Amino acid sequence: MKKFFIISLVWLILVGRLAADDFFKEYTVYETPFYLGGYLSTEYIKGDRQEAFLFDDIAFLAYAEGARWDFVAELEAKNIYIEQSRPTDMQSSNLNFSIERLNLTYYIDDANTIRIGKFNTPVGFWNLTPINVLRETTSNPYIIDNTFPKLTSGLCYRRSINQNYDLLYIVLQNNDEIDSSYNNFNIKQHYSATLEIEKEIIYKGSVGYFKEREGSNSVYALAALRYDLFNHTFTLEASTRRKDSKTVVPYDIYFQYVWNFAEKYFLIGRIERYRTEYSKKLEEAIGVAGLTYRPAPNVAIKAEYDRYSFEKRDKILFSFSFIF
Amino acid sequence: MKKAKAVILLLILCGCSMAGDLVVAANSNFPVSSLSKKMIKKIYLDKIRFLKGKKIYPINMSGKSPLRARFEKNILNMPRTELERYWLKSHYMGHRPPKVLKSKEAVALFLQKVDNSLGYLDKTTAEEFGLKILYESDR
Repeated sequence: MKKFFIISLVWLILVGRLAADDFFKEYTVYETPFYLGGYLSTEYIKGDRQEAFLFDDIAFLAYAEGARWDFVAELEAKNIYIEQSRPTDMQSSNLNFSIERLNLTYYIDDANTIRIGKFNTPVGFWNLTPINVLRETTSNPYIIDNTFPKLTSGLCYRRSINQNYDLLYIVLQNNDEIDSSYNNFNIKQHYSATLEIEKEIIYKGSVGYFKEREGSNSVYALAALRYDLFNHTFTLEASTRRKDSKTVVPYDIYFQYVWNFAEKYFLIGRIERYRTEYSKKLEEAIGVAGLTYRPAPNVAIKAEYDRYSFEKRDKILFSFSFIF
Repeated sequence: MKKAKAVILLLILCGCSMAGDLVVAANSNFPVSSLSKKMIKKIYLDKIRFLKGKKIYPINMSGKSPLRARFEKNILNMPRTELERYWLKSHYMGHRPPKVLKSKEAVALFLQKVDNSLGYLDKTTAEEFGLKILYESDR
């Protein structure tokens, strides 16, 4: 806990005066702007099952944008340092970096774009901002890890389908992953289609199929919506997944409300309910209440309480994260 | 007394004009002749990059500019904190916020010289620099 606060304080001093227009360093390579960045995250967990301090994420980003193309590379190391007192006393460290994303996007014309490489699967909302500093709570909803592959290594074709610039995404993977280290499923095939319609509310609907390296086949469907109303944001995502001939996740649904109640302060409430039928049936509901303080746009200090209805997994979480 | 009344009337008229003259403008080579509020929002949030095959370059004013505050409130309809988070997410996804210029004269000059760029200004400045008005806000 002490280390958590020392590191947090040092980072706060380092990043105290940043503003959104100019926090990232621009370089020029052959007249093309080129940017470097990264992010860090630390967590303290105290719960029924675990008590631990984690320096859980460090990553470096490089990206460039041309008139008709852009490029992103991200290298990430997870669980860099863990100091745990429960359920077992242990310390561990890891500084192995893996390729989290590596992709090139080409803008064919006004309506059509193609991306090749490893990228975040464009399903739902949460999966597109998966890192601690960007998401609303330190914890992720269960739905994010158990419905679809978070990362795809292949092609993503995006088309604007009308005058409103509503979007259709087609994702195709028929090869091994570029780096499978941090994906939630170890996949060798993934096909999905997502429709995104933006009115006052943004709606997203996805269907997909993926095959894991061990041979199992899954199909999934996910529906999501987000409503931004000046200082209030409402998000809902619901999914189902069938693995081989069995519906392993009959349903999973979460609803989240974020209230930006004062400059730099956010209150978050989330309820999630799911049923899983892997080796045994489980019906669970999770309530999350959180408070986030963002002293600078790129820094997040979060506190959160998670309450489980069935399993004994209640916990409190504190985290400090920033992006640079 | 008449003079004072005239000054007051002028101030009122100026006030009305100031409140109603936020425009989005570009030079005459811009690929479309008008834009809806929704399209402008999508261009400024980097959701639309091309119009009629041309790459579009939106221009922002500095964070302290009152025009920018009006633009964010009336056109983007997003508080500054939300916009900052939006651009952080975009940074993570490998995209940049619009270029920032410090004064409305700099913006107007840039729009005049650089084809396919667009920016928001007060109507008087846009007209002074001979820019094409793509959208006029009534707020």
